[in-house]
Amino acid sequence: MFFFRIILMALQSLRANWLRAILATVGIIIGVGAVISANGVLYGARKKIYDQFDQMGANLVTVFPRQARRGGRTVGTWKSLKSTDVEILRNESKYVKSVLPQISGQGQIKYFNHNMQAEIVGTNTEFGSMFNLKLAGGEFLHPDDIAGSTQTVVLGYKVARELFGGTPAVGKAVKLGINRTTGFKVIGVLEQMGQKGFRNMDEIVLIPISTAQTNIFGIRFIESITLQAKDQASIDPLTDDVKRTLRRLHRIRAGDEDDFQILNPQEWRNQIAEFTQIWALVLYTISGISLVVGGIGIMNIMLVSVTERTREIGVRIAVGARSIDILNQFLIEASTISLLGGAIGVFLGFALCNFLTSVSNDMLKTQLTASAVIMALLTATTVGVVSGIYPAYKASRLDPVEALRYE
Amino acid sequence: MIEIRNLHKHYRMGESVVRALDGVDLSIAQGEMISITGPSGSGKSTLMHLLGCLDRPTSGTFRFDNVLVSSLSSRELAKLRNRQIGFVFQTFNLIERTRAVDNVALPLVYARQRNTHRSAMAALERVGLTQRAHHKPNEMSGGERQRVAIARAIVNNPSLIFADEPTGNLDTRTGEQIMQIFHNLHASGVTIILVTHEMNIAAQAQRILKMRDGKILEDRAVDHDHRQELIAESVEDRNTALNYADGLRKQKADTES
Ligand SMILES: Nc1ncnc2c1ncn2[C@@H]1O[C@H](COP(=O)(O)OP(=O)(O)OP(=O)(O)O)[C@@H](O)[C@H]1O
Ligand SMILES: [Mg+2]
Repeated sequence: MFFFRIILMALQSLRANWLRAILATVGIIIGVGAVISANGVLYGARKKIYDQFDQMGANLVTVFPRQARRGGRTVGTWKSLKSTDVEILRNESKYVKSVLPQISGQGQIKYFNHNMQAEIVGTNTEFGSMFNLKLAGGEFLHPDDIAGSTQTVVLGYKVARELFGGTPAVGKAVKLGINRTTGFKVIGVLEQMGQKGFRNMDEIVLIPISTAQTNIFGIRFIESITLQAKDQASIDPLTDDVKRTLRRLHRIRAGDEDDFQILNPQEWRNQIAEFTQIWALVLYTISGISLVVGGIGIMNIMLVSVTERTREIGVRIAVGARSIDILNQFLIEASTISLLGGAIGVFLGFALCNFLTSVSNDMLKTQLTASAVIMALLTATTVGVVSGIYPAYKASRLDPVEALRYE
Repeated sequence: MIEIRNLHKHYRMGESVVRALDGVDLSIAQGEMISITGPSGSGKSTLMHLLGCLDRPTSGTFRFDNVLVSSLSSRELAKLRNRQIGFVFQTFNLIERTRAVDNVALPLVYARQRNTHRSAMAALERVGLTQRAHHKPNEMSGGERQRVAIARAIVNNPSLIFADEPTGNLDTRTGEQIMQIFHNLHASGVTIILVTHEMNIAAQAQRILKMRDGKILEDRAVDHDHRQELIAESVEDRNTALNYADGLRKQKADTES
């Protein structure tokens, strides 16, 4: 009750000089606003990346070939992954659910006079289940298609729509290739899936990996192998198994470097989390400087206020205020100013976040967390208390007789 | 109620020492109304601040209700000021941005009382100012402001009120209205100590202290004839003074009959 009244008194004296109070808190406003918006941008960006991982499919580990140099000697080539690796990996680890080889590249696809660019992906039967793709019609690649290198193709939603309009595509013959096109038979059309991970599933065409190697890209190697672990706990042991198996298959001696690299999504996540934290720390430090400036502003305005209100302080002491009451009054006033500055800062930071979200066309969805707001307001209040200590102490030590004589 | 012995208050000004109070002895009983007069710089305000427990003496003893004030902690002094003592100043000393009723409630707030509004309104009623309760000081006349200040001084029902030149910033008529309030308070048993250099104001007390150079030169009770004489001598506003004397004469005649 008593504290409540002191807070009311503080608000009252602020109202008399609100413009000055706001000017004094510019540092706090900028500091808090910067923390809030930086926080929103960082965590928004992080969430976006996390979401992409999640969309890509759960528990995926991807192997890429690697060309590394070591003491002038080349270790591995971009050709180091082979189709034979795929089947061995599938049987070698008990943690694996499915294995998917891939080759891809931009190519053309034609149907009579309709012609468009698409990403040609050579892969196997499991592509659909690994990325949770659904068929609008027809069927996926069949194991026989892979084994027999058939000229069959599954079209992405947008590809089918552009080439066929509304008419059924399954069973039709199209032509596809990179420079020279050859005839393929459409066996399936995907539902509209949109962006999954880093690939737009509506703009791809899927063909058997064997066909892609021999008939389209003319290569013997594969570009990547994606393995799906049985569950999240299997990701790390699977990674170990893959590494061991591939080193054996590729005859890499102990001490030599791998000719492949394994991307474990958990590791990516950890690295991104670490990166965000480092940036958050940098931004907090910068805003910290602004908060210090804000604190000095508040200390200054409180000192002015104590001087201006010397007589008032004398009167308060004369009617029975203890020095602790005077101390509290000015401390509360300082922290109220600072908290108000903080609130304005939160509001501005929030507005800036929304602005960034809208100008980026929702590419960057800023994330404003309650904990960031609470932390910012708490920090602002603390800055107020700390910078109010000296002026409040000065006020509480005033000699009432001197204060009452003060002109 | 108040007992002071050989009270000194010295201020060191570089080499020299200002003896604002230079050995004051004084006893004041509950229910007295006393004027303190004297030239500027004679130590009136200094004495008042000491008696009001706002200041500590350089030497000497001061007992308030038989308690040695120098033995009290600053917290106890604050409580004493809050419960027992009210101050009224020449320049009113109200808090500007605050409504009258909140100014009046200030001592109650520091007494940590809950329902301050009602007591504050009651105090305003005693000075006849309820209708201005929600106005701010800058919306009020000098006399009204001083009445708010008096309401603030009496809101905690103190036994002692100090007034330092309470009429100094007011015209004679308004001053008389303020004095009437003090008379009423005095009639209800409150001890009143009035610092003033206006003789017609000082003469309204029953006892007048004359100070000079930090000492009490003269301390005498004012009887009826003497009061008239003093009032008549007052040159500031002779007519008012005479009217007042007439009034007193009439009053006396009324009470005697
Ligand atoms: N803080 C101080 N430092 C030095 N001297 C002081 C201080 N306060 C008061 N004095 C001196 O003490 C003496 C008494 O002052 P005081 O204010 O009590 O006088 P006063 O009788 O109230 O005068 P006035 O009628 O002008 O109000 C004066 O000479 C004054 O200059
Ligand atoms: Mg004085």
